[in-house]
Amino acid sequence: MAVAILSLQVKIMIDVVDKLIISLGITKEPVVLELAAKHNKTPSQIILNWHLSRGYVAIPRTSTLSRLRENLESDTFEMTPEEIKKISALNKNARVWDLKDMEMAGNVPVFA
Amino acid sequence: MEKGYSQQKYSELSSGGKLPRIGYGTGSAKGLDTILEEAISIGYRHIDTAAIYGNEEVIGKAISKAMKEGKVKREDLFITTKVFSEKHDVAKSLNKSLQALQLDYVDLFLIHWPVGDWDKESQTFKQPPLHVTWKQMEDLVKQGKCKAIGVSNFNVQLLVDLLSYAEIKPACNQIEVHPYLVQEDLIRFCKKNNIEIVAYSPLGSSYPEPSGKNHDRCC
Repeated sequence: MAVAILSLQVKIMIDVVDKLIISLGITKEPVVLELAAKHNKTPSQIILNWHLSRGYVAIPRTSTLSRLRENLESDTFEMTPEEIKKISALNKNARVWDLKDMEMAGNVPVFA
Repeated sequence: MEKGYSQQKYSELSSGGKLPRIGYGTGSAKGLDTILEEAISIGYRHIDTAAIYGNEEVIGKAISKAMKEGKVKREDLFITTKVFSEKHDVAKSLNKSLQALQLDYVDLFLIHWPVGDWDKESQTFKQPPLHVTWKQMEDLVKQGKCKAIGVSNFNVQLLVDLLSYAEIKPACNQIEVHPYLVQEDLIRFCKKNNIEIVAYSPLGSSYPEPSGKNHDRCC
């Protein structure tokens, strides 16, 4: 009984953690939404296409089946250099993994 | 102009390998076995994992099943894994990963972070100097346990240093990139030096690691 309750608690905890997706909200940026409407693509596809247009590899993660295909198909259209620049202009050097609350943060070279 | 996604683009690595431009970042994604099966069916060939994700066994089972069912051949897959901080014991870490993944080799093996575990007492990181670790990484290529080696979360300064002594140059630098973190200088430097960029958290979002955000290691 105690084991069952414990494992249920752990399961609930895992479910809660899985919902705590850290997001910077880039898919809600007006410029991204505008380009998504223009190209008839999703905001995520616009952002992934921006990566591919800059000439490197991207590894999006998702646990949603429909997004799998959506991500893979993000190279099936082309944006103009001006559109790519518009997205790049969103830069504010903000990190998802900023380690701000870790005591070693200032000592990790990539963040220094 | 529309291009069919069957013409999926690749990046040529300095090591000679071909890296599909869109990979599947496994992180701590839920229901990974089901989703990987679907991912391989619809055309994903590049799968990214790491020792710290704790999902290599699930991935191993999924790819082994897909290969047995004839859905994909080993040589068509591109599997990346990474050694976590700790003491940068790269040989031990890769052997463990290969066992969990049920593979003889990975296509790319990365140093996950340039630093080891944080030691609270001395307020320093515990790891051997990077040139010692890199030599061990090169040995793993020579032993055939990985086709290519690279780094993750390295800045320009660290890469300049690494390039000065590397016998096998790093094939890739996996870093956080998205429209809020465009990384112009680092990407320019890597391109110039034939180091492929792999963008993690490309949409500016991520799931927390299973142990939560406040653990005592880099993630």
